[in-house]
Amino acid sequence: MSRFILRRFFYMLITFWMIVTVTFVLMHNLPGDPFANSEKLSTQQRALLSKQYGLDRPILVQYEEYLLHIGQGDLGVSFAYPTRKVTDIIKESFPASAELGAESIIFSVLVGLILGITAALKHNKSWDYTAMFIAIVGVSIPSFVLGPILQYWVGVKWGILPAALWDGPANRILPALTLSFMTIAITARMMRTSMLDVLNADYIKTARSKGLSQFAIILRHTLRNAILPIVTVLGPITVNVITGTLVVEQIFAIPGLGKYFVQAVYSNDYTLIMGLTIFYSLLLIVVMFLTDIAYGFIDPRIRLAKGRN
Amino acid sequence: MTIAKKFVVGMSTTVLLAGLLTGCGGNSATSSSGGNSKQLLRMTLLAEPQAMDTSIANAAVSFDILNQINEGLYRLGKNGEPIPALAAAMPVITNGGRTYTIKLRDNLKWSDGSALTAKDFAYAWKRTLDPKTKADYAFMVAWIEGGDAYMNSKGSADQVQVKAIDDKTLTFTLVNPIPFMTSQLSFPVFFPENQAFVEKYGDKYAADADKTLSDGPFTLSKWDHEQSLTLVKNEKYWDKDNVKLNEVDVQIAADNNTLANLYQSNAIDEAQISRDQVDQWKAKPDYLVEPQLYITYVEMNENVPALKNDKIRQALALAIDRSSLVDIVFHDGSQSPTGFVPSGTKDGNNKEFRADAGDVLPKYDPAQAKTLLAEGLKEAGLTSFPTTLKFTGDDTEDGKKALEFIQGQWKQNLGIDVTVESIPHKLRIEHGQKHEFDLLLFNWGADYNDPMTFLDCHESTSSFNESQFKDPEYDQLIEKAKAEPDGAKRAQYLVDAEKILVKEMPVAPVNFRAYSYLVKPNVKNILFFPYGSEWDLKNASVE
Repeated sequence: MSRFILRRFFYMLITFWMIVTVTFVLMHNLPGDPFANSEKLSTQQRALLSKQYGLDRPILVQYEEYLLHIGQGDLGVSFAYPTRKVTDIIKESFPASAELGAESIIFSVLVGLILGITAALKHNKSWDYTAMFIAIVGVSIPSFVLGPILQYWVGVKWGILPAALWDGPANRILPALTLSFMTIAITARMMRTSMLDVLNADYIKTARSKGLSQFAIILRHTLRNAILPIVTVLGPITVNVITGTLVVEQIFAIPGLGKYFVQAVYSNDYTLIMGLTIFYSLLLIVVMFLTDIAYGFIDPRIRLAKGRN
Repeated sequence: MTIAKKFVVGMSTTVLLAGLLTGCGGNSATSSSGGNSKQLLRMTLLAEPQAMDTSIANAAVSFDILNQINEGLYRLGKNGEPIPALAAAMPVITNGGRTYTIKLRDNLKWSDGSALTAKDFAYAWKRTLDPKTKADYAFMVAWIEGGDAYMNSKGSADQVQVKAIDDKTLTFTLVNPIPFMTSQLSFPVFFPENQAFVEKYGDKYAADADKTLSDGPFTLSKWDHEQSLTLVKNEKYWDKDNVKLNEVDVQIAADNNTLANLYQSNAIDEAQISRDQVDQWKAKPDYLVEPQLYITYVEMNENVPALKNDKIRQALALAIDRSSLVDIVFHDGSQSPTGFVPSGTKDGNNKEFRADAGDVLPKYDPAQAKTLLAEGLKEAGLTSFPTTLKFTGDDTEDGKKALEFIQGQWKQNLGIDVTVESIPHKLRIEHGQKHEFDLLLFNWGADYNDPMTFLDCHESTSSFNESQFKDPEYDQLIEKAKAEPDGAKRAQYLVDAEKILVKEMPVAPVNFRAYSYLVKPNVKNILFFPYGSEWDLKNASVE
């Protein structure tokens, strides 16, 4: 087992190094430089600034220096916000994104599971069609359409919830809801399919013939087996939701990390681009790892297989 | 079966109920909007400001806050006129308009209670010039003798001609007389800084609320980055009796639609809106249009043979229906341009430059444009207008719409084809500065309220002369105006210079920009400015 973990860790390092290198190369091939957005800088002033920041040195030297700094956990200082360290920006802005993502995931997985289970149990009945209709609508309406609609009707016209901003618990509902639809749709559809699969399995028939109640069958035998595919995609979905809050953050004026990423690319904020890429890829790697472990807990066969490795 | 049904229905009901309950809770939270007795004003910014460092700040959103928590020698009044702030009176100007001597008020204090002296100004200005500070706006302080050399690492701080004669007297000498200098001292880059405080925090100076020091009407009490800022009345401010607001909450929201929705749901008192919302609000008392010192024009690169001819350039300019462009594309109170210097720009003698110069830009005239094009092509020895020219601009919504509109106008009125190319802002700037374009849609905002900020970029030596316009007579007029101590004469040089631009049309102005705001009718006395900081809340109040 420990050898397995060690090997995985080594692969993780390689993946990480490759991500860093590819981003570094791509980023330096973007047209312009971090000062290109200031239209008031003359060509001479810009050259002077490049020199001061060491951007005029050979790219390999910059790359080497950057790797050394990462090794020490130093992500540098943002070009656009020269007084703020990239690590500080992440520390300050990520909690909002993470909170929003977590709320949305919890809500949408719950709703998605209920919809999926209902649809499977009432296979080919009106419940099923309603649930799947909701799922299709959820997949089809992008958040940049849904967000403004919710904001206008619920926030402005009906005045039930705050239209935007990030002040209290009530401010979380609309953005979390906007962010949830896609996940609800995905989980509902997956849950329905895998429930249908499991319901037709022999061991369910056995359980039924033993005289177990429908409730016990669903809770003990069906759900546990049907939920496996959901757990598999839950990791990537979580990362997706947390990193994909950009549009929702913009619409609801949420102080999250998502919009920094886009801004950073637009303004060639080298340190911020690299810092956020590293952070997000670490996040993804860790979540994948956790998913693997969770998977092993639910399905003992996987745990055993890995143990033998 | 029944149990399962109950389970599912029960769960769904719980979730729905939970949603409704939290929903109701949220409602009561939002309905408690800012009461007027509290003198709380809720403003908004479109982006996170940079550090509250008056030396480094270079964006309007930063100036918006700096102007409330800090103050310089003068503040701008309702009509953009300088009013003594930390200065006790107007400056004494000697030496042919080049040397300024300014007395400070008695007992000036920073918000931590320490004394504010003339030395704080000299320190701040030299710090701005220091190449290590990397200040974008250092070039303004470099108007002071010795400043340019120090800024470019060719001189020392001691050679910069700004001095604190004593704790209450500041004197500085300019390279050239600058008639708008007193107004310009209200710009954050000329504010004082407390050396001990700056050095205490070093790289982190002004990065957070607790690392800022105020000498203005408010102090920054809270700064949640990317979310909001809270300003409270500064009890150490010399004129605190005239500050009526107790607190200003500034929310950051980047989207104009979001702002309009927040405004409509009474969560904020002020919002900047864009064209989509203008019609809905136009007739209401909340709606405000603030013309900006900001121009948009089409640059015509004179390295392109067809664009080297004056008449062809004039034809391109005359073929654009600017009134329709402003109404259809911008639709935010922007005005059809009447010259190369936007309305509202002062002439250095506290008069409107446009009043001196008049409406010099020829009117939209497709027939005349056609004639000019034919004549121009003949003069240039061309049989037809090249079909390979690219028309480049920003890939923003405004940018793309304007490019397409103008492209259509040229096609319709002159029968010529250009290819539209919309690219990211930073690329557009790069192409412009390297003169790698044929036709380019360009925006320029004032750095100071004077025609010079719009005119000296057409000088042949300017690094912002992107169209490669070269006219010795024009250069001469600009240089003469720069050296002229007499305000009236100087204004005349600038009027004459603009006339040359009209004749040669190196660029074709298409828009004088304006911003549209919504402000609650019970909020009084917010001053809106056409450049630099957008607003001033010193005398604002909520009724």
